[in-house]
Amino acid sequence: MDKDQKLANDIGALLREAGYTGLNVHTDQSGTQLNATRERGGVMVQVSPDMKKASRRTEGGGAEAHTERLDVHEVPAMEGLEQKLRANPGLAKAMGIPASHLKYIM
Amino acid sequence: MSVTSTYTFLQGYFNGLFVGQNTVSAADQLFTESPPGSVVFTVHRPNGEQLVDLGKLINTDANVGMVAKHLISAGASLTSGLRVQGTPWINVPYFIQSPAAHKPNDMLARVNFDFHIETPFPCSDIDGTISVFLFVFLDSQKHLHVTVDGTWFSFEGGAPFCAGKASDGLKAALPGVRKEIQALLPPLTSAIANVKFANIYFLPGDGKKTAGAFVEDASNDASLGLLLA
Repeated sequence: MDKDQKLANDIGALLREAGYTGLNVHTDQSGTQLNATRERGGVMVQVSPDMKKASRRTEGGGAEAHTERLDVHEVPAMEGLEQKLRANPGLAKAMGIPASHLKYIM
Repeated sequence: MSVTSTYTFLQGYFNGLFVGQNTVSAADQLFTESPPGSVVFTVHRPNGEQLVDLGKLINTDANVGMVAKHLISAGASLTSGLRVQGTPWINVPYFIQSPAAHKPNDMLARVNFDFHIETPFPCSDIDGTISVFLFVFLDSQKHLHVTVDGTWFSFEGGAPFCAGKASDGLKAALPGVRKEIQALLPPLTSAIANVKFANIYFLPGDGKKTAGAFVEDASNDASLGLLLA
């Protein structure tokens, strides 16, 4: 078992043993957050793989799932952009294009 | 009257403030545009150009109200108008999920707006942006189409433990926002449903044709230029 997962499970067990209820465990890219309450009190714990990145930026989403193929004939385009980026990768930074996207055209 | 428009981008190509300069000519001219990579973008715009100001069509009181309503259901509030920006596919955040879905050079319209979520102590409040990407194209019959290509959200804040709940709320609200924006699209093209076009291109800002200099924000507004077939 992943060490952090075991840690989260152990913390959860300790909280229940100490009388805390309503234990909520949420895991995302910033790590695992646990919180629970006991009467008017509460406890919060965050297990993070990288504290510098913890909850700093959260992103999500994606493309639509198209069920039918689109009849695409002409699209507005930045003609020559791909060639310009290959020749001058520094242009990507100026245009705000993530470096991780560039490897798909290099 | 044909127009030669020169756009000088101050904060990046099709991004942020730009200075425009229009030169009007009585003589017609062929459509050409300069390649990307420079801060200056020059477009020769023929007499017959049909102009669609996407920002004016989308950032209406009714649409702002509709988006605000969906955000409230996610526990968020709208903190901006609805902006429209032209952006190449390679710069779309979900590009890496399916890089071959479009050509890297293809331009999409990014409709985006800001939101704020108040969170309980001890979490920090959340500020972020939701984007809906529109794919505009001509079909083999040269008719214009606009479809929702995808959605994306990003935010800062929510530490130490509120980001996950906010993320879940936004994911739940996105289909509603997307559905409403999808419903807006047929009216955008219905008036020209039977018109055939030979060419389609993005212009930064409202695409004005009046002679002289002007300053606009390419992150707030974008226009489509269409040439009749």
